[in-house]
Amino acid sequence: MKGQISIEYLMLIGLILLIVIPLFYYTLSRTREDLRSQQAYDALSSLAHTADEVYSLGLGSRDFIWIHTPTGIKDFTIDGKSLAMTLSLRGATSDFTADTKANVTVTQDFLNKIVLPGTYKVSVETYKNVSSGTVMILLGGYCGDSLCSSIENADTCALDCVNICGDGVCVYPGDAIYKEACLTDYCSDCVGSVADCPSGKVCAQDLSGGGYCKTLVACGDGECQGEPYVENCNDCKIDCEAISPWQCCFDAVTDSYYRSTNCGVPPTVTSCPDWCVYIGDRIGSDYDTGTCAQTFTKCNDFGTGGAYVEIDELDIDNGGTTSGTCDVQPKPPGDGKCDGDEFCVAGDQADTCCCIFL
Amino acid sequence: MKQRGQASMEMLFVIGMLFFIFLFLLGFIFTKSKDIQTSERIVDTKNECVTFSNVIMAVFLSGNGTYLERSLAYNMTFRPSQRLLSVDNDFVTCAVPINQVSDTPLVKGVVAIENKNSMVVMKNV
Repeated sequence: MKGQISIEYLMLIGLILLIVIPLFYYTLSRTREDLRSQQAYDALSSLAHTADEVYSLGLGSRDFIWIHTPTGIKDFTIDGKSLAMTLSLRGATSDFTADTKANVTVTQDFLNKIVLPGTYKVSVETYKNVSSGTVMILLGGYCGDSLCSSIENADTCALDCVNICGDGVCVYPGDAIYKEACLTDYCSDCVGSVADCPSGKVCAQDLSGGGYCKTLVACGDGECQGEPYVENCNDCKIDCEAISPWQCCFDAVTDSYYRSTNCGVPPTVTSCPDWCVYIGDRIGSDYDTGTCAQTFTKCNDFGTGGAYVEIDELDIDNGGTTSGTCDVQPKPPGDGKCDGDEFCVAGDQADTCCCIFL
Repeated sequence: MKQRGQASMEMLFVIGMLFFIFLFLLGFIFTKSKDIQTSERIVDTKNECVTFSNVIMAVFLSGNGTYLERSLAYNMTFRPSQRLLSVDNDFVTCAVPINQVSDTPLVKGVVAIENKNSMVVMKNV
């Protein structure tokens, strides 16, 4: 017979397989153990990190997180601020722990799921513990978990939450225990709603903390409401009259009008260089004059597109030119010298051209 | 009987064994590949979520009038009440520390983000 393999080759292949198979098995099992260990660590640290993040954002916050759970999880426990996972690893059990800043609670559904291997999306949210009054973290919460979290209320999850005054939902007229209305049994949840109010009026809170029904916003109702966006001294002069020394000023930032004794800088100005008040045209010069209501330090590094301007903005450049007689560096206020870069270039938008300390 | 060209039984046995080993490896690789694909999608969307969350914060902190445009690779929605930015229909979410953000649903593409009086307004352009 020809074609058959010799006994030496058979022995050689057998020997190689004898060495390679255990080596392969060892490497594979070792890798799997390392992977499982890393997955357990990642799952716990991700949960703890997200819990801290949500807790730091306060009540009403929620986030979702994907976690990969390994095989061989023996137990998952929560003890106050500590999360612990027991994992069967290399013939023994290992404990993985992670600490959080807030006390943590879990739902039974979460506990049932996390001990099984897989990839899960877990909800991490805040809720207020009724008995202790502290903010806590809930892992794996859902509508029907019997815990009313801070993102749930009687309207969005009737299974977990009962209607109470303060949950943001006006249930008018409410039940016998939790009466919610505007005039009688006033509840702040009903502010802005039509509860208890005649047609054309909505509930509002008065200065004493009680409720009253006010007319819906309308020019001529005698009340300047939602100034400057809803009503203002330009659009509704009857309600928002600017009696002297008050003036009706235009705010180019919000494209609206507001009342002030000085129309220089609008109240919406918050940072340099977002606003520069145009003062006047410098005839014979390529520059206009402007001011910005900002601190000197904020204006200090004002670079491209703007000019470094001081209080001596109004110092006159006798030369009437854009350069030549003006110095490059700013001079102290009131020195009577033009600093060269004090003024807006003609044609520039007034809100980006210059900045000055007032 | 004279036989030519045929493989020996031993060789067939070895090839069979190798075939089973590679089959096992292939199954293992497929499983891991699926896991990696899921992880990759999660990481990718999470990265997009965190990046866009930072953009929102940057626009908010830069003050009134700040405007920028950015390209989105996924659909996004912001829920002000929960301070939550949701990517790809809640596949991945991330927190934004402020709630002065418009809740207009954004579809993938170019979006404009603007600070209007400390309110971050976002819309597709």
